[in-house]
Amino acid sequence: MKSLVFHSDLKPPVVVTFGTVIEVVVRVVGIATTVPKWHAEDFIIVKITFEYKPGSGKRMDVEVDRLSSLPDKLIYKILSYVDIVYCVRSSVLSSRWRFLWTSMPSLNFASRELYKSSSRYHEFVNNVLSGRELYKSSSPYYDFVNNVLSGDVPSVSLNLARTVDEDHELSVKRIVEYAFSHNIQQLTMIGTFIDCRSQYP
Amino acid sequence: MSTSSSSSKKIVLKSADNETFEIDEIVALESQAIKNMIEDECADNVIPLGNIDSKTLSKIIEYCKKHAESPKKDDNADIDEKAVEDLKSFDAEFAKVDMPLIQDILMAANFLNIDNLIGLMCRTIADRIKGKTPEEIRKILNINKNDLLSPEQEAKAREENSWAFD
Repeated sequence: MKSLVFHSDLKPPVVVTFGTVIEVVVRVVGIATTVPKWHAEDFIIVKITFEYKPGSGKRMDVEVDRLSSLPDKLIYKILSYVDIVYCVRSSVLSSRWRFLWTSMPSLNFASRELYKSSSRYHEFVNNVLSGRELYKSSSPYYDFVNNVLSGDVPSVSLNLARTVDEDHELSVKRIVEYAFSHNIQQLTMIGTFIDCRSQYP
Repeated sequence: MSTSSSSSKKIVLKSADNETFEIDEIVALESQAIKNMIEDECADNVIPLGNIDSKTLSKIIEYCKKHAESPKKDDNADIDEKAVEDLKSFDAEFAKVDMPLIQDILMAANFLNIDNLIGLMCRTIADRIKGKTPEEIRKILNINKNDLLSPEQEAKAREENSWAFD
């Protein structure tokens, strides 16, 4: 392993490579404040301490609303319970939310919203995946999602719940291509397509 | 490490506003962060939680107590169903609080690393914004007005993924 990225509440992610330092103290004042860019090359990490200044609670900075001060991983978790169409719509909420959906580590393609729309399913899947690719360079967390912990990328799970047709096949194909081209190490697909396929040879 | 009297051992938590809460160790162990502290023998008699106020902390303790005393899944199949139902309705009641408190609990649960509680709060927030317009969501989440996109930026965001806004 060459380097570690500590994401936690810190923005930008703390990148530390192995080398010689014994102790690294990352000071976090409050929760929502940003920490300066943090690169320590040639360091060995023995201990990482997160120091919280006592009494500096979340109300310290009234300019930041509570939810926006949440770490990304919690917002991803909230979005994981939200229909994917609304996840995409969250990009207009505020600048904090502008690109968040594009780096969600888990995508659930079982969309109720989609059933209402007339567009074909694979077009929808394509829209979502292309939308994420569009932000490859503009999203600061895209690299995090794809390259954390020396190539050990997080899994992307896709939940497909829909009856199968050729439209569906195109969708699955697109998702698998996406997974390969983005070095996704674990792809979870939950769906009924195998059963349906045998019914409709 | 003294594990001999784990059932009756007490832990004291101190909130940001200096209120102290004495709880059974078994309740405190619902927090993975506190559990690690205790196991590493880093925990003094009093654990200061400088970023959690007493209102939030007492809610969290209420949650941990309930979950600590509920039989775990693998204990007994008979108790299981009833206990699961009981816990479910507890969770549902627990989440009936205003949004600022939900967000405070979520922050604190994240800090204390209480996985179930993080999940419950995230689901609750998701449920409240489901099917709402961006304007409504901004209001529900009390999103800071200084952070809003300019009309041009918002138009661009909508245009980039226009399919999702139809």
